[in-house]
Amino acid sequence: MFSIDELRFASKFPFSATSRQVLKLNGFELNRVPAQVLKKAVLLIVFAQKPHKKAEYEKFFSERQIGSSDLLLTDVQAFPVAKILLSAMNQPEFFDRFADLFARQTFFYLSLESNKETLLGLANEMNSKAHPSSKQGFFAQVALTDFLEANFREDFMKLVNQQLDSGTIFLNRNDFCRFLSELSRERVASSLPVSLENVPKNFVDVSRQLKEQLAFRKRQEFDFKSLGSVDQDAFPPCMAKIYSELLAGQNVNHPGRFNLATFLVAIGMPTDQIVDAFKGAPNFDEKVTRYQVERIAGHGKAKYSPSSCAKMREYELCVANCPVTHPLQFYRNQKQGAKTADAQSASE
Amino acid sequence: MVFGLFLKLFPHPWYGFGDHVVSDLDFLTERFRSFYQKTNVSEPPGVEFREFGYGIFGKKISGRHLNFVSLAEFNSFLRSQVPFYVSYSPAFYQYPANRPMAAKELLHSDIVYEFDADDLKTPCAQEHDFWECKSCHAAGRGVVEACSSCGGSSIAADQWVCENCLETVKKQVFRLVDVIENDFGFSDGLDFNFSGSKGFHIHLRGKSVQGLSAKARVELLDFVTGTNLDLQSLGFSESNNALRCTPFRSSHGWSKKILEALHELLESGDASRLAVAGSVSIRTANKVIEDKTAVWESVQKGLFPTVSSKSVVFWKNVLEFVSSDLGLSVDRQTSMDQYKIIRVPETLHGSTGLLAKKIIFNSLSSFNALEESVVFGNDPVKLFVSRAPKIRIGGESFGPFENQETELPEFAAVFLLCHGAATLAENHVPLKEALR
Repeated sequence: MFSIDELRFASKFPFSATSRQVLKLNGFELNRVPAQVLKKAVLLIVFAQKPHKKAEYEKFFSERQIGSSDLLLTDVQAFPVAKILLSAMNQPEFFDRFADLFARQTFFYLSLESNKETLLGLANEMNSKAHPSSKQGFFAQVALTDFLEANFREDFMKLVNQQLDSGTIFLNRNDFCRFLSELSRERVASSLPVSLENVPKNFVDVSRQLKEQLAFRKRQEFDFKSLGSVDQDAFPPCMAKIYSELLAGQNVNHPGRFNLATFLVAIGMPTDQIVDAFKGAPNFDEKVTRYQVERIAGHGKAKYSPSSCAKMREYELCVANCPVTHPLQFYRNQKQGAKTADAQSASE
Repeated sequence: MVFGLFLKLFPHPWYGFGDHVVSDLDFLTERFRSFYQKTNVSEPPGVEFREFGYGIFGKKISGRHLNFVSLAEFNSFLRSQVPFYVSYSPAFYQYPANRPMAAKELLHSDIVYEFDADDLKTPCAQEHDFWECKSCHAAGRGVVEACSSCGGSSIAADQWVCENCLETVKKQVFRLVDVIENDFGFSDGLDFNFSGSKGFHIHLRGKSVQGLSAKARVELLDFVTGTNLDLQSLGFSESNNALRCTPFRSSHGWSKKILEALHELLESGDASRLAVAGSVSIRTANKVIEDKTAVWESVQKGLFPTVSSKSVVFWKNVLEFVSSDLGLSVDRQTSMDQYKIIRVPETLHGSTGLLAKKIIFNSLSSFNALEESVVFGNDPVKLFVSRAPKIRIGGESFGPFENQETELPEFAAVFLLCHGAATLAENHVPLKEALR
């Protein structure tokens, strides 16, 4: 059997090897999942889909650690059940939010953890070799190739900002906790979707209800075409630059062309007008351009979206420091600002 | 100059003039064929898992999604099809010839870093490059951002390469190798080759590299180029009105590189540069230089000393200034895009006729690409050259040329023909006659 400490560890870090061992020893079976486990799994998914204030997250995590071994076991079992429900919903955008919840949870518990071995142990449970630092002034060291398995959304996690020497990263305690948190995000995200073979019918029913509930929120997502006619003055600086370069006949690289096309499609510019925008390109071929624009617009199967600001920076297409994280967000803000101003001037 | 414009408008003269149409192309094709017939290309490793692409004259990739089951089959393709360019995927696929890309089923991938003289804006480009405005057709020597005549920014560049360009690129290669070995700790599977044109390719083919995710490759690339550098995350932080850092002996990665560059700036004694770097008066900069030993001792211990009433701003400016010079100018697309295909080492480059020659790292410093990558002979060839700067190739100098006939050894003739700067003299049709 397992100790209460192991159970507590497994409930804090349900993606760990210890958690899998607990489930195995406890004889966890999908056909005999208690109602409270299913309920907890639904709660996890619903809570994960909405951003919360820091205090709300902390309350959510703290409450889950108070209780008997039965309650802790419910938490451990709820994790794989939630993953099955998410997979049955088959909406990949929810996977990232679910992974985000566990990245936050990991950091929350690790920052409260006083035992150094627990921190190093969690790394090893996620197949990442971490050791106490051999150099003074650091808490732990991680091999570069292991470090590169984490998620790098934040600047502090970027490799360029690490203390890197001969293939080893040296981290202080706080950064090591953040590394483990981002590694857990990656591990949870990459473990989804799971196989749906032999999934009980009641799981499918619950996932359908959940999907409908969450789809309601999705329907409320913004339709950029509702912003009215395309307005070049509202383009974010990156898109305005690519657009004017193309019109001027400059040779814009592939990521630039792709992102401009996806942006123009997203804001509702007609295909003919987009194709016209590319006419100035030195190697313009109308047939090829039209085919590609139509594919981007989803006339084939997949519909493509423009890259986020972070990606635009990676492509070296970002040209300004806008207060947004996505070029479409910039356009929406500009258009909505203009609409508000128009409405105000009309009422004056 | 008029003929130069003509060549710009009709870049492949053999496509347009009756009996003369194929001679230049045939000449080059035969030269390339003779090379491949007597050569056995032994690159790339894992040929059966790679995707290949090829190019015709004037188009580097005109077809791709090819696959060869062995190097023998690949060489047979080179001999029979005689491509002007041949590229391969750094990626290994289960089904390299399948389309679309996802159907190839990626197994793992090398990383390739590419340096190109064009990206480094070498001063010698002002001597050997030419430009022409696409709007008003004004033209001139050098490199311009905008037309000096009409101000238009749509410029066609005629870029050339020289030994100076390639020496500048080499310095970047040496710095990259330092990062790969001493920062990344990757010492296995490093291969180098001349690109065949204006730069060098560095292949990382070690097992620890091949399994890295696309995101991990971006992180390595950002480290190499210094992208997303954040001084605060690197330990340069402000407290009690002073800037502090990790002590030098405990600094690694970019924090160490920045401190070393700062030390170099102090040691140079260049007060003017320090004044520019820190946005301070030359008087303040002189004071820092005079105290440079004490300043550096303090910085080594982790404290940037007070030099003026705005010391923190001064030091931050200096750190940003020195770090901006440390990033390497590697081609991002080549390293990031796992689907990009790149020149096969030991094959010919169709824009120069030079070999993309493999280089042993220890001999890189003495490697002269414009001599050692020459594969064609010395038989004299008569050419009409429209425009070319003075070039040095195969240990000899030629030109400059402008609208003139000349006789050159075959290797130099191939170089100019591949560049599109010349035509075989027997094919040359005076402009008036051509337009008649």
